Amino acid sequence: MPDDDNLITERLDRALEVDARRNPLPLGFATSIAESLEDRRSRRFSWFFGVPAIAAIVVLAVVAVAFPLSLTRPSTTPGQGASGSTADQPLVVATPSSITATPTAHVTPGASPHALTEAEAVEAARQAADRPGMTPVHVESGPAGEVLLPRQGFEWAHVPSDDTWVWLVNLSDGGPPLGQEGSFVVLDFFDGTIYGVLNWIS
Amino acid sequence: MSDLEELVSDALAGDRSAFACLLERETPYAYRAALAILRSPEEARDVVQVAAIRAWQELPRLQRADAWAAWFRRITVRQALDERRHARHTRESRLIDDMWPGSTDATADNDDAVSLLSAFGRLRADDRALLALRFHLDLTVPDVAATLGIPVGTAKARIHRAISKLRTELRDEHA
Repeated sequence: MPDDDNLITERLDRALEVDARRNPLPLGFATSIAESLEDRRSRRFSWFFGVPAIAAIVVLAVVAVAFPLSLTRPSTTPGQGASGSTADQPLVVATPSSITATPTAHVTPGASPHALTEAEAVEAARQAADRPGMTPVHVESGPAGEVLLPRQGFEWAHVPSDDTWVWLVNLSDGGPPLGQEGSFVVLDFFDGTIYGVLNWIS
Repeated sequence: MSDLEELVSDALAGDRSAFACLLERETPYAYRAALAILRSPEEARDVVQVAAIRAWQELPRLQRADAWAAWFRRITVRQALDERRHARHTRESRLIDDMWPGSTDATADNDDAVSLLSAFGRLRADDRALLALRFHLDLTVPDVAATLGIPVGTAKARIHRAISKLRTELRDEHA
């Protein structure tokens, strides 16, 4: 940078410093803001239902992807097992139950040859989020009560019960920390039913 | 677990005092950026407050605790630029006439600061953001680019142009 540029930017820095010192933040500014904050969970709830138009667009997109996906995979609960291919006999009926709901699988007794492998879960998550090129940065499985409940902000995942086994997949585009994009996907551990997709940006 | 990670973790769990500590660390810098962009301390404080509320609500999306400072700064700067865009038609002309109402003491003994801020106040808000982030908050060009959501090359070119504009405005000021 030319010396002249250095000079002018140094003068600017000093001038902005003078300006900031003459107009300081009030004492206790941060504390007073923090004390006035609403509960995050209730605010999030109202956000979800307070912007129905946006939510409807997002959820319809999720349903559009998840519906065919859920039809292609059998569903069961842990411990129920059967073998053989089910490709020709869809055992899952998926129905969007509300504006924020994702398809809900009805269990067919005796279905499902095996649980999804991690690789299958990641691929299903990519399809559900419509992010084919993204890489998984976090994959975890277990009962929803153990995988999701301890974390905040997973209300969008409509898992039938706390003991339903799920895969939690976090996909990322691998970009820089700021501006990185990705998706959380919660899907059934056994049949890949999509319980919810939430896109994020850091 | 580092101190910062612990604060973010506690704030995520709903601890407002932990969130206050996080804010205490960053609001001075975020406020300086907002003040430079908006040229009004009242508006800058409002913007920081809105940014803090947004940060609280969106904290679960923060991927890494060590990104807290940059993340909060980005929210604040973008909020300030949005505020300026929305207010452009109603406030920009007044800013040009009155420079930066209330933000700088008219009897300032530092003439250089007054004339420089006068010229700075006539730049576009985007240019003020670029210069303030780069030379007042001392961010690297990639960090400036990330804060504003633009490519690094674009940031570099715009910073260069903004310096040229500032120099031109200063020349006019002195003329």
